[in-house]
Amino acid sequence: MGRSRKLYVAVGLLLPAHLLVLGASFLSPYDPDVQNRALPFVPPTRPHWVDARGKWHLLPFVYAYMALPDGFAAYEPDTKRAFPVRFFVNSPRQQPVGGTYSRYHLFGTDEGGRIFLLGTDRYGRDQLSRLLYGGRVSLMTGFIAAVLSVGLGLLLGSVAGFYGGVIDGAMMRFSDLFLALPWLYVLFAFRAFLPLRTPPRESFTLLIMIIGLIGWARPARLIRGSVLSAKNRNYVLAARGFGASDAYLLQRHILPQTVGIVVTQAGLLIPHYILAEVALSYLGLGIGEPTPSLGNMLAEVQIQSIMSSHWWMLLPGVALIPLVAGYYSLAEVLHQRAGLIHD
Amino acid sequence: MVSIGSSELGWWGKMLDILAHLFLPVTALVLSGLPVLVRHVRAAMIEVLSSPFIRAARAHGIPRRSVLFRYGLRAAANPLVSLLGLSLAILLSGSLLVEIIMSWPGVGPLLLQAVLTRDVYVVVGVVMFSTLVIFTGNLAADGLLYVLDPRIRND
Repeated sequence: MGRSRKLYVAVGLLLPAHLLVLGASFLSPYDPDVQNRALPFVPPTRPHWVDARGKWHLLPFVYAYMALPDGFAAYEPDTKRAFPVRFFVNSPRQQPVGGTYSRYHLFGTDEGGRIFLLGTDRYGRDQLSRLLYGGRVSLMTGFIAAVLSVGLGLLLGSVAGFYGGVIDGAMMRFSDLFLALPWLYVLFAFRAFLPLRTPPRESFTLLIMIIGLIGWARPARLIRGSVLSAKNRNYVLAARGFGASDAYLLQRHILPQTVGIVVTQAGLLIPHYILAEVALSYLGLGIGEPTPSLGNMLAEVQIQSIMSSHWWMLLPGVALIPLVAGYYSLAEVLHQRAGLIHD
Repeated sequence: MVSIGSSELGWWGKMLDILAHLFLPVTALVLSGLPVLVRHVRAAMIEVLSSPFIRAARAHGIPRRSVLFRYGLRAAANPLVSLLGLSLAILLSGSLLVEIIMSWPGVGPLLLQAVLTRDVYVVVGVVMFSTLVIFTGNLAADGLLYVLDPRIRND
């Protein structure tokens, strides 16, 4: 009962988040890198149903923003200029962002009006669109880096566990090095040897590579242990006695034993690596502008006045909470399931 | 590491000033590191409380609080101490970020500046320093465990 409820919590947190992120190009009203220099730090747009004369409307509308003459980034809704909210707007992107492309957007307004449901950042870019695309970038980093890490761990761990001897010893001492050092320091150290200014696509690849390649030691350790115990089971010895090759043994009998560990480790590493991306991008060492990611969006609140007066700039941090909590509880469920299968 | 007017504060005043500025970063770090330790001690405590010597202590009429804290917690403190080294590694990674965010002039901002200015020697030095801290922490944890837990002294 407790376990299935935990599974529901995990799925309930992760499924909506992933659907939002996958549908970013349809759900976001604007391109994440389109700037409105005249509208920095616009507070979230409120959809209205009742207009200035007290008349009700069936479909919501938004007011245009009017910058107040005194003060920076202070706005008031201009009640004279109302724009109805349109659904399934056809407004082609200038360029596809993050691999997908959608002609239609869930909502938008007529020309001249702007709808920023979560406000804008310092360049007047729509925070909602940036959050959706940035979530996609961060999740993709976490996911690919975890696959890389677990894949490398699977390769090295199974080789070390299966062949043993000198290979095993050398590999495990090498992994000790990675396990003993605090991982963020290692991450920084590796980052220090790589170029600082790279185009967005390359910095994305670079980030995935370092995050993924540094974390191989723990999955490798665990997989080695599981391979070691699987190697000496009677049916494996019997199969070897019948003349099975090493490759066949690994593929047919030994690696299936490690599935539980592989899946659990992946579930644990994804949120870990999402946070790694956030940490590096926050400090300006990860994904650079104009590509949004949860980390470099949060970097804007390094300036204390932005954090204290524009609360919507903190939303990328809020978005991380269900994401990380969902993945951790998923990993816990997987861990318990895997334990049950083995017993 | 110098507040405005700190030169006139004197020794004790400087100490208090540093402590006041330590409050937020330390709170952030403690809150991030605490749950793991609590989970481990909870598991150990459950295991210890169901063991025969606790039942014997209860049967002797030793007060409940004394059973829990003097007998139970002492036996359950093993993971707490042996996790000291590990949690030090996690805390050190966390403190890297906390120091940068809270402008604490520690190793974190130093490492970030070194990475941004491509000063590789400083980077290597800081990583070496972190390693040293962790080794010391692990050594201290082992020693402490030896002192606290008589069960591991047999071999």
